[in-house]
Amino acid sequence: MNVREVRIVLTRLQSYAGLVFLLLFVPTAVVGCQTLRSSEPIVPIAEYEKMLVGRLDADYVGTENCLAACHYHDQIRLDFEASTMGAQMAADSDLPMIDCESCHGPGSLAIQGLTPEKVAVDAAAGRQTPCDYETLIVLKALPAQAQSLLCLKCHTANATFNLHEWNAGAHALGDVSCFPCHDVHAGPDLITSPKDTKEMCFKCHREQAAEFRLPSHHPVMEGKSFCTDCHQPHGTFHDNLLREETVRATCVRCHGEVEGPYLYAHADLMNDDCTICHADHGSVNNNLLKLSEPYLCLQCHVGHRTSSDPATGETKGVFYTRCTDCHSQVHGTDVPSASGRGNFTQ
Amino acid sequence: MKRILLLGGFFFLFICSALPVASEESADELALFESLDIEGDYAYEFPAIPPSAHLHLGYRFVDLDDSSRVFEYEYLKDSVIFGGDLRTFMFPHRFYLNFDFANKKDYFGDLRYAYGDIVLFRWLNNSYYHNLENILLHDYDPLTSSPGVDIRDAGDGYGIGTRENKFHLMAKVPRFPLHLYFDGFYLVKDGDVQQRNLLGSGFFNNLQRVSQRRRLDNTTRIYKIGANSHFGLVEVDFAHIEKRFDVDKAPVLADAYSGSGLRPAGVYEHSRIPELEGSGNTFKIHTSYTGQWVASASFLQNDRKNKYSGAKSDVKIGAGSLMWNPMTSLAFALRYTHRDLDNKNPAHVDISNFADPASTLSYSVKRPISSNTDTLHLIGRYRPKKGLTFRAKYNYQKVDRSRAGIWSLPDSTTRNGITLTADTRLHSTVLFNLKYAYKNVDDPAYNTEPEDSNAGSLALTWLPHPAVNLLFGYDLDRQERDNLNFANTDDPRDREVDLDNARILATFQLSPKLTMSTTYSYMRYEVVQDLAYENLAGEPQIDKNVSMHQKAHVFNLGGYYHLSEALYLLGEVTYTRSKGKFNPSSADLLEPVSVASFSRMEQDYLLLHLGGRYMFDRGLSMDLDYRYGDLEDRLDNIYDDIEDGEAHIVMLSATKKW
Repeated sequence: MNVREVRIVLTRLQSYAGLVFLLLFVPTAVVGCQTLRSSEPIVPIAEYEKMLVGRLDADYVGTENCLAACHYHDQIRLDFEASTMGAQMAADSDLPMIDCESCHGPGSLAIQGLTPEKVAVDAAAGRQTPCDYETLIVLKALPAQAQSLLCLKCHTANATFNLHEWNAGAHALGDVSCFPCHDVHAGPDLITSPKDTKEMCFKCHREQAAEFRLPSHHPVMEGKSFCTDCHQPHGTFHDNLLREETVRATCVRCHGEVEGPYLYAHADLMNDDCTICHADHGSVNNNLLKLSEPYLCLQCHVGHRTSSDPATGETKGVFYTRCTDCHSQVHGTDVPSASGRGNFTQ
Repeated sequence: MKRILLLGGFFFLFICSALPVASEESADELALFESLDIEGDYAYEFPAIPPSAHLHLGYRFVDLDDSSRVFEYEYLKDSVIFGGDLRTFMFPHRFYLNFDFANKKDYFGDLRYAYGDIVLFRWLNNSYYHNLENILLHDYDPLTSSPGVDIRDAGDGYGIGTRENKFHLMAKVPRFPLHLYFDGFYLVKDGDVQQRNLLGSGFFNNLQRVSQRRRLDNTTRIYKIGANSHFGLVEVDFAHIEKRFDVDKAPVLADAYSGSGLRPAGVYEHSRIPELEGSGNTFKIHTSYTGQWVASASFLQNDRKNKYSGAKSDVKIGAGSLMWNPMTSLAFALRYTHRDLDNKNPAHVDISNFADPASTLSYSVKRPISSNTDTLHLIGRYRPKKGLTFRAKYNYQKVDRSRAGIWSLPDSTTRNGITLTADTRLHSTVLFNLKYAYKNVDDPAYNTEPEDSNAGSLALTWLPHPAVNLLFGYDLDRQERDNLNFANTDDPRDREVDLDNARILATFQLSPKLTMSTTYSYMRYEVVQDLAYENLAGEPQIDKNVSMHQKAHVFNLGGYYHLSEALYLLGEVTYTRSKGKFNPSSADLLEPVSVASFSRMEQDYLLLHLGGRYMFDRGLSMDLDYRYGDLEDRLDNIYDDIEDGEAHIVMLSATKKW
């Protein structure tokens, strides 16, 4: 079988694969649409009982029954109701439904024995009426995965694609739940500002916090670039949660002037990994270089001659201060050097 | 491509096998849902929330001595400062605006609008300034014409302004999760930079280094339009991406070059920044996030074209992940990525002599490397009891290169690695994390990659008192290599790398009003390897076991004092000392002057921040913020790229809240 025949076979295989894809995709989509419409809105269901160990007798009582008589959570309630998620409590909002019990579990045991009259008496006496909150789900005691499940339960059915790689991502598998970064009671505005992200990340990633204090660094400490410019904390198929498919693809998003492709490339260094030469967060060397020049380059390259002027050592100074004074196009170039090769000098 | 299709096939087989189980679960949910009185139970009225806002206005004073690199990312000019925010929640409308203007090069804006969940819009602007160095090229022997220097930018200051804009617009179909979205990324960089390069003939007998001012003005545009939806058992997302990189000013420089045996004297171009264009498509599909089995697959295709030279790059990626959570305490995950990279370029390139437009020189171009990369991660997590978790991860990666021989690289590189992690709560107040990682590489492509590496880390957190938090962490990495590859040398050469990173953190709440925290970090990077230098005959000479040491100590002390309801104060000081030096041993390299002397480095960097706020009645407050920076080249090495600098920044502002 010659090359042409192989290509024809491959092309046909691709066509068949596409056909198989459509045959599977279309029925799944049609059946799936119907299922989703009939199951909307999302309601608190079975999984929560599993978390209420030993108290399967609890029942859902609704937010009004839970909070109407107790004013302790008024501000939290107000903030939450005004948030995007709280708005979903409106039956006419066309959004999936969610309320306090969606996360805190069924509340019937917590308010057992409480009456509006008792609350009124306590209020008159200047007391708050405590509910038996220990019968609710103790969220802090849940494993990280169960905490995340509370969020994922709704966010799995509304095409939330920033969570596409969440489950097999480094945070989920590292026992980091949604809670350390997202606080649904933070106020009515639940969207995170990029300015807040470094505090979230540095709570755990202290080594990186120190790296950003080195003399050469990306301006994260200054609040002028953000962890989320490069990383997607919700998970990606890259091991370090990089936003793009490779280190290089992530870097050239902002550093387009060195993206290439070039006629004269730095072997295949430019194919994927800028971190062979550059530190990603901070470095003691200028331009985030991992090691200072010329040692950085000498790790792979034979240095220029050192003994052409033994009296003054002048060429040593020229050749061994910064290689990039002459090889300035080290990321790649389209212009051949005087020798006709790609020495990155032109 | 075949592997990418295979990945897609496996994904759909998985979906099909999950169909019966998923259907049963849906039926249960549906029955429960139908038993509820939705309208009655969830009657709801959107709360009335008054709008809130704040505005601040002030002035920023700057005093700079010597190098502006002391505050690398501050535009060091006096300026008015202002900013504020506005939030309104009038269901279904939500509006949020936050803006912060520090000077004409440094500002931030965040604008959001939502209409229920039907329309979501966000615009983010982040603009800042980067002070760049003007490195002085040193003429080591002015009496000789070659090597020589041509300094055309003595005393010039350099910097680049970056203006980054991100847009996100999403429209949703009512009562159904079908989204159409548009993402825009628009980044402009403009300013002046130092361009250093080589003139003369370019050969050893005529070397002329030049430094000159260069205007930089380029724009990156990335536009993404896509749609996603929920299709019952799976959700799918498709997006198309267009990328453009345009050079608005000075894409290339030209200078006079001397003649050589290979090229006549003339005016030739150099330091070209090519414009690029590219496009891509992504397709993503995943199952429910909450099942015992969760799967996702992504297919990406991206192409790039250099508009000047015609060089092209095409990437195709298939990636999939699968997680199995058989019980609460046990989970397994698999991630697989296949990447096809196809680089192409023209076989020849022509350059013109601008002094003689009729003459054109043609040069051949080496064919670029293309590669196929398979990456596999297998991860397991086991939590035998509360407070104790073990994790294990196996990594495999194989890179197959085409045309690697002409680049003196191996045809194939294989990487295997295993990582073991344990997290445990030794006591109610003590947390302990331990990690070990081993990596083995067959036929590494570059000398910087080890054949074997052993890395470990430990972290100990102790909370002896509710007001005290202590943390100690230490990471180490030991790397080895015994087959370094230098062009023109055949003998095996060794390399060892040691990395150490230690940190201590302590936070104390000394009183309800006073909190102090301090950190110390130590970073060491040491490389010991054989280096090669040419002698006069052009033969490589080996210098054995040349070490390069780099160390950094970072101290930080901060405090926050809430003196009264109306007044708070904060302060922070950060001191960083870093140094680096390499140590050749061959007499040829050491006499009459050591090659290492040109790059010795030792610098101190001190940052001080003091601030305070006093709150008056009626939402009025005054803020005072002072920052001091001092960067010092401790060796005063005239050859290196470190310059002394000292600066004071004072900001005084008034804020009104509504």
